Amino acid sequence: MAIHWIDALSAVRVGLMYALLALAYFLFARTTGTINFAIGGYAMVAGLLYGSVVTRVGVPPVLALVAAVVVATALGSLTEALVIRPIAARHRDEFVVVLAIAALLFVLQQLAGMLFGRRAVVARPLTDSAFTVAGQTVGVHDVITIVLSLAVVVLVGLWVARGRSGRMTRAIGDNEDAARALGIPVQRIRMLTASTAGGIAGLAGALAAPQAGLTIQSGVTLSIVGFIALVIGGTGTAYAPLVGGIVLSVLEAGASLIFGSASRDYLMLAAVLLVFAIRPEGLFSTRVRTT
Amino acid sequence: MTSTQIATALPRDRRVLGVQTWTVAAVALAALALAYFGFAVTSPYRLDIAMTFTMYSLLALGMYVPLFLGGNIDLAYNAYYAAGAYSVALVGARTHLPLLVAVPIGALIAAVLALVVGLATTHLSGFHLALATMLAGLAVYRWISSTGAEITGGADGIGGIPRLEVLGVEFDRELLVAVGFLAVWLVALCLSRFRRALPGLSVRLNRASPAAAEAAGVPTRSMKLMSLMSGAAIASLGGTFIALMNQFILADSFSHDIVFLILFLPMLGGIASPWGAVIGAALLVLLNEASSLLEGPGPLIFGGASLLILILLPGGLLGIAATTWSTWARRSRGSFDD
Repeated sequence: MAIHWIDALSAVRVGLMYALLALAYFLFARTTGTINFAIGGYAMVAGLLYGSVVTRVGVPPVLALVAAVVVATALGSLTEALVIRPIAARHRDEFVVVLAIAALLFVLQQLAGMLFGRRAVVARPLTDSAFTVAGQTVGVHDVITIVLSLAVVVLVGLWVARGRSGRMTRAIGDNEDAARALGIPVQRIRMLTASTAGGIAGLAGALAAPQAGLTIQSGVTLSIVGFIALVIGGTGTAYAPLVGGIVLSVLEAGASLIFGSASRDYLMLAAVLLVFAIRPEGLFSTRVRTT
Repeated sequence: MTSTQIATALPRDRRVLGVQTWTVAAVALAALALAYFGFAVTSPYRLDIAMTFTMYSLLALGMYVPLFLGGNIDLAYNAYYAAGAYSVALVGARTHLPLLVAVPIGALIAAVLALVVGLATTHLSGFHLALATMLAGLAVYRWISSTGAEITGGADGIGGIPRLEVLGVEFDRELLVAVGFLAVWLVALCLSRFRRALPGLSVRLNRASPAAAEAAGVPTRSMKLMSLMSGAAIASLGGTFIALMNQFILADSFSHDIVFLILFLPMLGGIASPWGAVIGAALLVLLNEASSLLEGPGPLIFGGASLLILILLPGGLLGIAATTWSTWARRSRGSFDD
């Protein structure tokens, strides 16, 4: 079976969605040290919100996209302010945070079920227009998705590497006490990264909504694929999630081509155990913490 | 190292009325169960609810062992639940063996699955362990619902499971519920005794301080695997009872949703005692009865309450009871002094 370039394009589109989710994890982990399992929940809520307001209320798609990103941004900052900060202040135990975030993901799922219903939400693309290249139809929505996702990855990369507040995130992640002593506004920067992470996850969910056929169950699935992309890429640079996302998507597409689509869950498990066993720090890493 | 020495290194247990919280909980629950069961005999609907309570309790008690005693995250509990249920279904519907053999088989399969998961994730902790074990659970669910359909019946599940018969006694629905309640009560009682015996203390010490546990000569690695395996075996009983009761099983019951629910049960009731898991299960069932299971606001309230308890009241309901009691007792004693 020949692999067509259009399949490659769709693998890239899916890979970029994974990359955005992994990037959201990356930002959250960078300043709070927390793997925020609720990331997929934000994406699911944003995707369902986008789909429902466009289809059921008739809001213009672009406006709906903005609204979805705004809501996800709010969810990200609320998570930091109301869940992670109070728990981390009292417990040194990572375990309690893991449980709280699992509870949060469940709450988001049930809340979305109340708001948007429990069946799959049909979402329309940003625009229905398409063009033809070499006999293949390419949707404008897909092109927008790819360009927008790449732009976000590059912007975040530049921000983290060059921007003033972006570099502060690294300082907080490396040594919180030293950062505080230097007068870095730790809580404000944390809030900034948490809300940015929420917004990015929301963008990923809303852009993927037309093809993904999201349900409230998608929150867990999206959380898992995003985390796996992060695990594969590592947390060394802001571009590691991009590589991780693309690698995961290509692996997935390849596996379903060879073994059939039911092999997906096994592949995920195998990939994760393999990465954990061989290169637990991911493809790209910088050793900053030894504890 | 003696149990007293280890016990001093751990936080002290709370007391109500001068006795351990668990004793109060055990007596109260036994009384409640008897009262409820008195009504249950009359209505088939109540029997189903009673059995759901049994199932949730056994799953949550199973998860309590590695997670809340030992601090080992294992989110593949849907797989152990499935091991118990499918053993009953396959032995009952596809073989002529006595159905009772399915119970140890299910527990054994669950324990072996837990051992494999535990060995594959030896060096992981925290979020990474959560991810890997959750994926293991997902893979098992995938196998049950699609890839392994030739054996498991796929999404249609397996029906036509005969009634359990032991020495000529047929276990009808009433008897199964009674045995289920007894099993929950026994497991919770044993676990709360285990918690305060030397092996239980060692498991808890390993959670509180792994370095101290190593130094005290606790075989941490085999202890972790043992706790994972026994937790899985207990959880498999939940599946065993459900399959015996309903006489059919559907693959959809074994998705990861159930893992989330049972994860919250001990938190809701209080993680300081296994009885907390049972109280949490009772609350969930009552809440479900008030609003239908997956459509109403029940799960939302339930998840939200768990989240709030984690953020605000880490002791859970048993913790609140103990705190209220000690505050009240102190205050009333104070008024005598005046």
